[in-house]
Parts: sequence; C-alpha cells; structure tokens
Amino acid sequence: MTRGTVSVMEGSMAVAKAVKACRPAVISAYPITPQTHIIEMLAQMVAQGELEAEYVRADSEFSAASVVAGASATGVRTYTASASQGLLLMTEVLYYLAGARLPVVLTGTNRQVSVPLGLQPDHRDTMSFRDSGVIQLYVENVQEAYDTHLQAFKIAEDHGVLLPTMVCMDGFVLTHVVEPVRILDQVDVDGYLPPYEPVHYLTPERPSVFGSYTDDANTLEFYYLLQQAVLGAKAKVELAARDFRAAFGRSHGGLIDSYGAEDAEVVVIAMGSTVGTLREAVDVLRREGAKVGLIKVRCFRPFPAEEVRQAASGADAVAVVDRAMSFGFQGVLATDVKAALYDAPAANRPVVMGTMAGFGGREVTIDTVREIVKVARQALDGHLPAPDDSNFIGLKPELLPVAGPG
Amino acid sequence: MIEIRIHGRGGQGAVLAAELLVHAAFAEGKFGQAFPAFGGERRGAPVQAFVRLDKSPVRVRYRVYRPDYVVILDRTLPDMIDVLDGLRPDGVVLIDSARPPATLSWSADAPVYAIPATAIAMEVFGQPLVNPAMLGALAAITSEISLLSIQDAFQRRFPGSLGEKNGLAAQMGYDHVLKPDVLPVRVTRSPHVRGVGQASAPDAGLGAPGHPLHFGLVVAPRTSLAYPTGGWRYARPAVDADICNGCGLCVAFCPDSSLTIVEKQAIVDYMYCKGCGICSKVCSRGAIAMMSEEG
Repeated sequence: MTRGTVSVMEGSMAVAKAVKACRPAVISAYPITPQTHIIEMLAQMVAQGELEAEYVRADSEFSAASVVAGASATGVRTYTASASQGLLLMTEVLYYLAGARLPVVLTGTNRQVSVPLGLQPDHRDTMSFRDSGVIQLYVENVQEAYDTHLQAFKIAEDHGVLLPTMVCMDGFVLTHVVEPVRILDQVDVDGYLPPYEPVHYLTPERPSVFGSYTDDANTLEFYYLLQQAVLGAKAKVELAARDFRAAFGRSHGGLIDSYGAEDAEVVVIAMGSTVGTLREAVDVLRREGAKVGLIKVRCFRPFPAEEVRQAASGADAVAVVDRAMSFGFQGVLATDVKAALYDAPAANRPVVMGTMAGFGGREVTIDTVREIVKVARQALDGHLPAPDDSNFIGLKPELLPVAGPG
Repeated sequence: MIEIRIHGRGGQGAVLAAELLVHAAFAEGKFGQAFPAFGGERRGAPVQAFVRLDKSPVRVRYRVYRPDYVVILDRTLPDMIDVLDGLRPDGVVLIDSARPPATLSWSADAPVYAIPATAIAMEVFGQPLVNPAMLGALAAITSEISLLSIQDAFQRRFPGSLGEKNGLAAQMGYDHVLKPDVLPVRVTRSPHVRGVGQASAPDAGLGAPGHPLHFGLVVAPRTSLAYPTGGWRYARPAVDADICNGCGLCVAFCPDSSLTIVEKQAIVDYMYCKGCGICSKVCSRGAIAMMSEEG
C-alpha cells in the first residue's frame, strides 16, 4: 500500500512533481518569491518534453489567472501559482473562476502583503479570498503539499463541486525546505486522478456564453447555488482524503486533523506549517503534565464548523493561532472558530482566545506555544478580565513608537 | 535530534551544504530538514542555513536557535555576526581558517576546530569551494553522519570528475580533523567583537536597528549607514596613489557610493564597499587593484 519512492528534495520541487503528475494541459504563471521555484521547474519540465502541456509565461499575475481562466473554460485541466501581491493581482479573476465554476488548481505560497515589503510567510494573502468561493486547503509539510495537490484536482473537478481550489503552503518554510518526500509513480497518480471530464466548456460545436449579465431577478439564486456548491465540497474534501488513504496508505486529515485534542483542557487551533511545531509542542507540554491538544484546520473554505465544534467542545479553553487578521476586529481563523462554537450547547462551549502568532512571519517556537497555553490558562482562571481577541504574542514594546500618528 | 547552523556568505554554498547534509543523512536511514534563512539573495552578504537530523521525521519549523554544531564557511564572519549565539554547552564549532582559532574574534567561549578548507579547495579545485572539506571535517567530528555518505551526496549532485574532486576535498577535510595534533581549541570571548549587532551611524533614525517603527513604515534618510555592508566583501579595491589622477570615473560607476575624490585622489569607504570590483574595471589608468581580504 505504501507506494512510490522517498527522496530528499525541496518543497517547490515536490509541488512541481505533483502538478506534473496531474497532467495539466495549460500552465500559466508570473514569477514571484517564494513561488518562483515551482513554476521554473514546471517550465523546465515542459521545455524538456517531460510534461506535455502549454506553458504560458504571462506578463502579470492578472494575465496568468486570465490565461488559465480561458483555458479552463475550454474544458482542460489548468494550473497556476502565486503569492502575496501577485495573488492580490489575481483577485478579480479568482472571483470570476468561482462564479463561472472553473476548476483551476492554484498554489498560494503564503507571503506577507506589502506594506511592509517582506518575504516572510503569513496568511494575509490567501485569506483575502475567504469570501470568493475558492476552496482553500492549508498544508503543514512537504509531503502534505505533494499529496494535497493531487487531491485538489480531484476535489476541484468533482462534478458536484467544479470550483477553483487553492493549496496554501507557507512560503520559504515549506517551499524552500529540503526534506524527504514520497513521490508516487505516474501510473498510481493516474489511477487516483482520472482525466478531467468537463461538464460545461466552450466548443464551436455547441456555442455558449460564459459570464453573462444577470440582474436581481436571478443573482440571489445564483449565489444560493454557489453556496450549495462550496458547502457541498466539504464531503468531497473528506472523500478525496479517504480515497487517497485507501490508495496510498497515508492521510493528513480531511477537513481537519486533531492531535491529542480528545482529552485536552487547552486546545490550540492552527493552520499551515505551524501545525508541525504545534504537534511537537503538544508532546512536550503533555510530558510536562499539561493537557494540551491540537486541531489542524486543513480546509479553511468551506469551513469545517461542525467538525471543529465536535473536536473542540470538550476543551475548557481554545487558543487560536492566527497568521491573518481582519484589522479592526480580530484574527480571521479565530472569528470562524468562535462562530462555529457559538452553536455548541452552552455547557460545552469553551473559552476562545485569539492569538496573533506566526503573523508577519514571526516564528512560532515551542516556547511561543508554551506562552499561548499559559495565557489561555490565565483566561480560564479568571486572571484576565476577558480574553483579549487579538493577543499579539511576542510583541516587542521597544519597537513601538512612543506617540501615534499626528 | 541534532541541530546544525551553517554561516556563510551569499554564493558560497551554505544552503547547498545544508541540503547535502540531509541527503547524506537520508542515505543512512535518518530523517532531516534543511532550509535557508529567508531573505533577498545577496552575494557576499552573511547568510545562514539550518539543518536538523533525527531518527524520526522532523516536525518543528523554525530556525535553529540552539545548535549542536555551528559551521562557519568564512573566518571573517565572527567579526560581523554573533555566530555562537545559542550554541549548546556541549556544542562544537567548525570554521574555515588557516589561522589558529584563538587569533579570531569570538562573542563567547566555545570549542573551535579550524579547518583549512580554503587551502584544501584551492589545492583540489583551484577555487575556494569550501563546502566539501567543511562537511568532511564535520563527518569526522560527529558520529551522526559518515564521510562516505557525504561523498556520495556530492557525487550525486555533481556527477563525474567534479563529484570525485568534491569527494577528495571531503576526504582531506576529514583526514585533517583526525590528525593526532588537531584538537578543538577552547576560544574565549574577545573583548571587542567588531560590528556584532551595532549600528554604526550615530545619526540613524527611524527604521535603523534599535529604533522604533514609524507608523507608516516611513524610514529616515541615511539609515543605510547603520548597515556596514563592507562586511560582505571578499576582495577590496586598493588605489595606487601614484597612478590615480582623481578623474572620478570610479565614483560615477560605484553602485554603493563608496568612493569619493579628495584632493585628486580616489578614497574608498571600506565600511560600505562591497568589493564588487567595478571601480577596478572602469579605471582607465589601471590605478585600482582588487586585493584579497584574506591577505
């Protein structure tokens, strides 16, 4: 059942190999750190004849997204990737893709958004598509990045879904790390992921119009259908993970994954590469006698509200590790976790504390987790008047201006 | 789990060294993780790469703060950055240096092996490719990884004769450490470590190290003075005063504004000169020679 070959490679190479194995017909991208290695490797594979695909080097991310939108509308499998400002430049097209139900798969190599100009990973870029209808899957290591790209095409192209699907992987931490990863044989990938069979596509034999005008007579119904489709993708995300496990013997979770959460007093909820560190932290803190557990939100959209509720409702306190913030409110993931837990019976509703950790690429270490758990316990014991919704963990007061603007 | 931090200069191969260590460990049935410090690529600038090796898959995802081994690919780096930061009490340091470690400046006490990696590389390659000798030496010092695995990793990356040369250089680094008279030298903290975490510009304002942030990330002018980029230099321009006529061509071409003409003579600001050598190339009188920093 354990198929394929393990070798040591960069995360970006593993993603390029995954995309290649999925046999996209059209790839279009514009380079931006930390996505560049992925598309360079794909361009090389096409140039050397290892991958039979059209590689279109676009003149911007907007063009790249538009190229894959057009290509996808002809009924072929397509792929793109970007990060940070590049993803933001794709925004308009990504909304279009979701509305037109075009199952483009893209990689969001998470990177902070300027200003400040920087290269560090956080989730502000991909989170800006929260409300677009794009399916979002966050991965914790290179193996999961490889496996999830295979699953992403399966989910996106499911006839009950037909939505763009973005695999989000923390830039540098996962794109530039070199570690062992199991790469599947082509025949096994082909067995898992059948060729794309489009339902709606442009063809001269059957002329049709995409993206046409509507008015208020039917837009509401259209949104209703889109909501049904995105919610319906929950079952398909689970199914893709189950099928993958059946075929290849490993799983990284479906909508969520939990680690030691069953009997935990304090549950930490996170997404992406910090989850690996959190797993280690759970083991360390449990050895020290603290009943700590972890819930990984793997699928952020559609949001696994019921699954989070079930996994977290036994805890006394929930600490959410957020790498994106809705300025003026709180951490983005924390908001969703609270909304999900509001529907839990009052007796099972844990205290929820949002923490900004890993935000702006500030590293989350075992000690960071220790501090987060400590603050959560203080909130529980009533030592804090009310849990702060935006605890900036590890803030350096010496860097803050004495007086504000003006 | 063992944790290794490699300090080098951009272009020297610190990231490759980290990667090859994981390849070598993996061939021995171990798991590992290698990654660079994230930032813009800058040739000659101090860079870091990190390695973790373990019997089980490595899960944590942050820089190495408590290294068991620190590998330094350039002996001028301890002058500029705190290479010993967080070194474990039983940690060991390897540095490419033909000089005794005690003659270099150090930010803390530590046992240091000096490896003549540049000399080995010049002998084997005719170029300062220090990685193989340094990793060969590491294989001799740690039981975590064998010389053969290191050599295989180089051979797979550089097939053919280049791989063999890398293997030879690794062997020479390994053999050096095993010589009976080669022992780690216990260095002590130097009274004055130049440049470690210090801003050198007295008038630096917002945006310079140690200053608070502006609310809109507006940075005061001249804050780049706080970054003494002269530390990136492999080679320095030396102006022959007898030949220089002060024409100023070098000033016009210097990308870092590190040259000025004073009394018809080109003067180099070595605090910021990155040693690119453009001034030497453009000088129409051949008055500027590039000299090795090692000398």
